[in-house]
Amino acid sequence: MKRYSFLKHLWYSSQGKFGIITLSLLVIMAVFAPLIAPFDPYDITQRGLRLQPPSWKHLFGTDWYGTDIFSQIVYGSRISLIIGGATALGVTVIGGLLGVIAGVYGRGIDTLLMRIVDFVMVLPGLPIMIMILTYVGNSFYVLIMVLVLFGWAGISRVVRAVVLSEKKRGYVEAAICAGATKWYLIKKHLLPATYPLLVVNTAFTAAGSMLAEAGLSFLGFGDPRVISWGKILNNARTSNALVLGAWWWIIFPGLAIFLASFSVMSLGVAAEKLLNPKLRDRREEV
Amino acid sequence: MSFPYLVKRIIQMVLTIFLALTLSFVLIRALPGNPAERFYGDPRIPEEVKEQIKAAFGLDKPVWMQYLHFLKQFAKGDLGVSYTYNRSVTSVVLERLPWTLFLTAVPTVVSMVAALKIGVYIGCKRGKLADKLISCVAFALHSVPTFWFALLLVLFFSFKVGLFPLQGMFDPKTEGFAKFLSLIHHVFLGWLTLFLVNTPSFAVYVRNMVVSILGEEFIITARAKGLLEREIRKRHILRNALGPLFSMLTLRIAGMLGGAVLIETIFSWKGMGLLVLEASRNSDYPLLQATVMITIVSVILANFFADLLQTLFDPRVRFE
Repeated sequence: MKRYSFLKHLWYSSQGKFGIITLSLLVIMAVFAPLIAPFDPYDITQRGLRLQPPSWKHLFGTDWYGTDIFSQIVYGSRISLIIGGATALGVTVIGGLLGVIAGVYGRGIDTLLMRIVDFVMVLPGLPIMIMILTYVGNSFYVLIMVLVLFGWAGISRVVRAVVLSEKKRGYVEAAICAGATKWYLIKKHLLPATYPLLVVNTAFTAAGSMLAEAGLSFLGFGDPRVISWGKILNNARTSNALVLGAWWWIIFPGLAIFLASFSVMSLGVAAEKLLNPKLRDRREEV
Repeated sequence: MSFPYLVKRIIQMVLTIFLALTLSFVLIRALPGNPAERFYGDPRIPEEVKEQIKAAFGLDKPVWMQYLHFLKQFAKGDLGVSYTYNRSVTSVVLERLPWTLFLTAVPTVVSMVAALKIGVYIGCKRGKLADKLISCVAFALHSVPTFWFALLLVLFFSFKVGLFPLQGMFDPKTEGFAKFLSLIHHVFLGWLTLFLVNTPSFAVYVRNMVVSILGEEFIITARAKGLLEREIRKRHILRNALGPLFSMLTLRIAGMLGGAVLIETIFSWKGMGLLVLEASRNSDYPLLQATVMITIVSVILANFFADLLQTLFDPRVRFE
């Protein structure tokens, strides 16, 4: 499928359309944040304007420090998107590669890798991440690395399963008989077979890491130098927004997290339906 | 349950715990900014004092001896003394463990029962409105941060309606049964959060199992025998969906016990999760390490029991 027609098909499904529109809006918001945000999200000097409910001037109200919440959310989109994108990329590359290696080489390497996968998957991520961040200090890059460290396992197992079933297919065996090298097999046949899964898994990983970042920032383990959606909620928690009844301080950042994650997930599901012929046929029947 | 399977599973579990401990050991020593380094890392400290500190921590010995010592201490349940509580970290953590289990286990069990009911129902009526609705809700819930959902519930039920307390564990003035009621009153929103977040996705999982079971030949046989639809659902569908539900549970336990940090923070619920946060905030390293390690071990043990339950309900697994 050509890239152009792929995007076109994506656009024709309602989930794909929703994903593309919402995600594009978020990307525009992140790129042009200084132009879109009406106020300075780091300005904590407007104490006279504290805890204003939503109005035309302050769309999503203001927080305890008088900072405009809408502006904070606009700037926060940068962190969420970068964390989601970077983690998804790292997880897909590392998880995909290890999965292909396990599937192609089999034997000892496979057993070892899958044991590690089993192990990583039973680890409770959040407390361990908190421990690592406590030692190393909260920073953007450490956060991404930690998220990749806990994210690669699931994808590599799925990729391995696809490679294993693909290896038994006639055309791959024919290629082996024709003298194809392992590297040629991986590049030409096995890796392309995993693309549909990789795409949907990348989307889900991106969504999941956005949520994880939000959770860690909510607990106070985000990068202290930048604003993120989780951190707005953390500020709300430490300033007792619940007791103050500042509902706008809680609802809007959460909605932003939800929308970002949901749009990426929708895009992933729509892409999966397109790339996976079995699912596509079923769709066309409807 | 077959004996060899049990033995195999126990050996596997012990190996996993061993691996987890090894990983903790490596992490604690390899990470920059580890606590021992803070004691002797200052360049103004003279060389002899540095040696003394290292000896006191056992850091002058070779790594493998430190490792053996670490394992021995863990086996004895001696994980050091908490800086903030000034007593054995193991006792502090074990005091908190039941509270985390109380918070997470109850809604999980209720969720599973509800998911079985709902899942079998929508699975048998796939493509109908109820099925589509619950599948949509489950998909959307994947994108809802659980902690935010909890905040919304608190915002509505505690702040707006005033039905539940904002946070805390129980009213300190109450005694006996009243204290228990107060406890339920305080934990309820936490339970509700976990129940509402987990049930739809559990139900969709059961639904997918049910859909594949419906295509099996024994269902056709059961229909041919003239069994009532109710009987088929109970004896053949429900029974077969139960095993896989437990296997899905094993994948979720880590996330649920780990995710307790967030829920406990919101409700000021004094369990293991809040302890991790406290220890981190107070730079109480022995406590932090012990809490994380005991959380890991709890997850592994919980997985073990979920697996055993699965084999009870689904004998096929044992022979794999």
